[in-house]
Amino acid sequence: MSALPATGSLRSRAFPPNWPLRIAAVLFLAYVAYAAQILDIRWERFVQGLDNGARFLGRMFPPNTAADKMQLLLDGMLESLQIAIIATGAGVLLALPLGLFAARNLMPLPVTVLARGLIALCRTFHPVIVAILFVKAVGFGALAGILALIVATLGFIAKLIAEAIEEMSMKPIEALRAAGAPFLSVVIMGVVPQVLPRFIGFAAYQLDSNLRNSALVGLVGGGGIGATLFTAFQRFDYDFVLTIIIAIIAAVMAGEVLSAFMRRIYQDEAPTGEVKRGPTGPIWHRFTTTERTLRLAFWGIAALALGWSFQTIEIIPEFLYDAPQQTADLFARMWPIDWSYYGSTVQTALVETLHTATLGTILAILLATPVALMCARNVSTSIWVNTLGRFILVATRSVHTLVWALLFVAVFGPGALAGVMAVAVHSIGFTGKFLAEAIEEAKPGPIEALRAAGAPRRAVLLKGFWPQVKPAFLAVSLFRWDINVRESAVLGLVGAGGLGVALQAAMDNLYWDQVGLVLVVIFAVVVVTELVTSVVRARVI
Amino acid sequence: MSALPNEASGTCRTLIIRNLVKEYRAGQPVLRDISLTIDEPGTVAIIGPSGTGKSTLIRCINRLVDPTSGSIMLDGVDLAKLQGDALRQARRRLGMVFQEYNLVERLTVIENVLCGRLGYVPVWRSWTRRFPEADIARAFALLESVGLGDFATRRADQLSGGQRQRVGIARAVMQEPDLVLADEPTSSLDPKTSVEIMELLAEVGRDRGIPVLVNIHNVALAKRYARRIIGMSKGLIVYDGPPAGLQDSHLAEIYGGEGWME
Repeated sequence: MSALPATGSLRSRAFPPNWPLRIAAVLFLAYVAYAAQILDIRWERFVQGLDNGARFLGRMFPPNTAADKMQLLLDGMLESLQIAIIATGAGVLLALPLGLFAARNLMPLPVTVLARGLIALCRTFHPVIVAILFVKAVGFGALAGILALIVATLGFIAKLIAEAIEEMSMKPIEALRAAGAPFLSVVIMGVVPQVLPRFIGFAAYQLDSNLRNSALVGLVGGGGIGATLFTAFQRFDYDFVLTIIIAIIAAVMAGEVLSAFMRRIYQDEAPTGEVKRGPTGPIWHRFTTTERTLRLAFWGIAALALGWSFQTIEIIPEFLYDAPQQTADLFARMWPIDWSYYGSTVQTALVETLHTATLGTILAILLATPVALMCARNVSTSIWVNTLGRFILVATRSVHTLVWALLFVAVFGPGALAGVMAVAVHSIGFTGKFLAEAIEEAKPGPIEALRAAGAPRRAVLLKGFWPQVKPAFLAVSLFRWDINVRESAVLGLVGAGGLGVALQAAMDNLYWDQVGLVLVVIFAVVVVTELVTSVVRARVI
Repeated sequence: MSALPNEASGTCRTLIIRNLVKEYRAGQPVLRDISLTIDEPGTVAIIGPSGTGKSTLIRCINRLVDPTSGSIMLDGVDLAKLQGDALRQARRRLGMVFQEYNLVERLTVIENVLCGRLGYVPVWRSWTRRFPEADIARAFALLESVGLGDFATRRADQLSGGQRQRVGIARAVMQEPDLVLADEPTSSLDPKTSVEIMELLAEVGRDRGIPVLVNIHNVALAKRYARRIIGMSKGLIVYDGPPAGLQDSHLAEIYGGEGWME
């Protein structure tokens, strides 16, 4: 064996240039330029928009707090709260059996296929589209909003329950079966204790998600604060718009605190109960006094909230009588589908939607990365920076993409630029939150080693954190892109470009056969993006 | 440790297995033609190398595994043919103890023991945890007898391995079984705890007058506690008799080779 060459060209460099990566970067930049050109995103428009934006912001401040407006705000918020409570209660209740039916480790194959189909159907269409259909079926108002959010809740919670059940340990289940327990007893004693903590987490999350979404369904006639917001926009009451948005953010933050509390009661500690000495022997109580009190308080509050919501919400029963007829009529008018609408309008809109989602996601990642670094406690040690970062995440996430789109349409004018900005800004919260968590989970060892060697901050981030965070980073980006495709499909309802514009135009003209076509296209796009992301996820991550 | 409550169920049931075959994949039998009769109370140990079908045999008896052919007669009922409700009814009388305890981790010890009654009580009782008074009293007595009297409200995931297995045994006895099946009950435990668990299983068999069928890797433990030893190799029974009759030649046949016996 010859000696290893000590110097010269044979010795490889520690960090050789990665040519595939460089080529990918060039292609990536080329795509961004191309997509921006398709969407007519130009620098002048952006600058002009900033100018508009300054004026727009000027008209927003100070927020309007006149008494009559506050009354409107209160009415709208209360209705939204009622919508969210009823939709969460009913949706979660329905999701429990549906999730169980979809679990492949407990149910026979045909049942799971049916249940999974139903769940997929609930998840395919954006709540706004579902709300539009329900508004047509049961009329304007809260009921349509409630029904739309029940569908959304069902799709989300049932899927997560099914996954939780499939991931649980089968060992205790086997033991209970071996003891001859009937199926429902196996579920109660074996399945429920295992999935309850995660289930409570989902339900709590869904409550504040529905609170956010109830602002959304109002935009299309589903009642609640969204209706108030939309009216304020149409009247150019921008100072009142700001009041409403602040109120929504505050409500969502309050909801997050509440759901954290709920999780603490139910999730962390299962009840232990207690044993008391009785005259004839030990007496078993399933809960200790504290546990029982907490539980009673929880269920009492839940029952009161539901009761109050049902009592006071405005539902016009007359609208319900002809709902089945209206629904049948709606679908009858969609058939036969007007395929000619595709070539003339829908195809361009579809391309616009896909580019909006992609550019929006890219921009979101660029914006979210510094915020995530601010939030991660192992990168930014200042508590003020952490708190500011967290506030940005919650605030961007609390306001829905469609509401952001309304704002950006006012700033940049109608079109895809407003859509891209809306998608990007709303995604900061979601992307940033997961990135910050991934950064905080990075192993401290390599980072300490780099710091100990005197590496500058930039090098620590690039060579210490980045390799560890990369998989999570890719996963989050992909997941968010998937969501953003759905979001982008409806942005046109408020004028921010894409398939929504085609949908709105068809609805305004009462061409239901064209509406049918747009729905079919959205369905197809959602299915294809799910397939694409799952393939990419399996290959890359 | 006090003795288990004496609740001997009278005469011992008879288990007769005839020509039992199990193939997970067609043409590759794990059990080939097993026949044996168990009609006396006490511990019966099944020994044999890993992968020889000991677990499959035990799981065929309570039908956690469905046999390919053969019959498993318990008091004149063929367990191999039962379905649905009839199978559930039959399983109530077959207690099972698992290698990894198979407790519901997030439930308390007393709830885990009461799980043994699930086959007897209606569903609403498991939902509300309102088990019959008598069941709860028995659960406490059983916990006392396995030495866990003070652990009733402890969560199962807070217990040590040995304690968990005691809960597992209490759950099986809670079923008022005619037969206890134990699938490697000591394989996840340290030597001292293993002895205690075997002791406890032997006690169950003795006090209740029922057979306890135990799969076990540890030959010394098997010889110490079993009344009868069944040696299995490659899906067949190669030894069936008292521990005293088990010679090194038998062990060599069961496990193959002799180097491991020192």
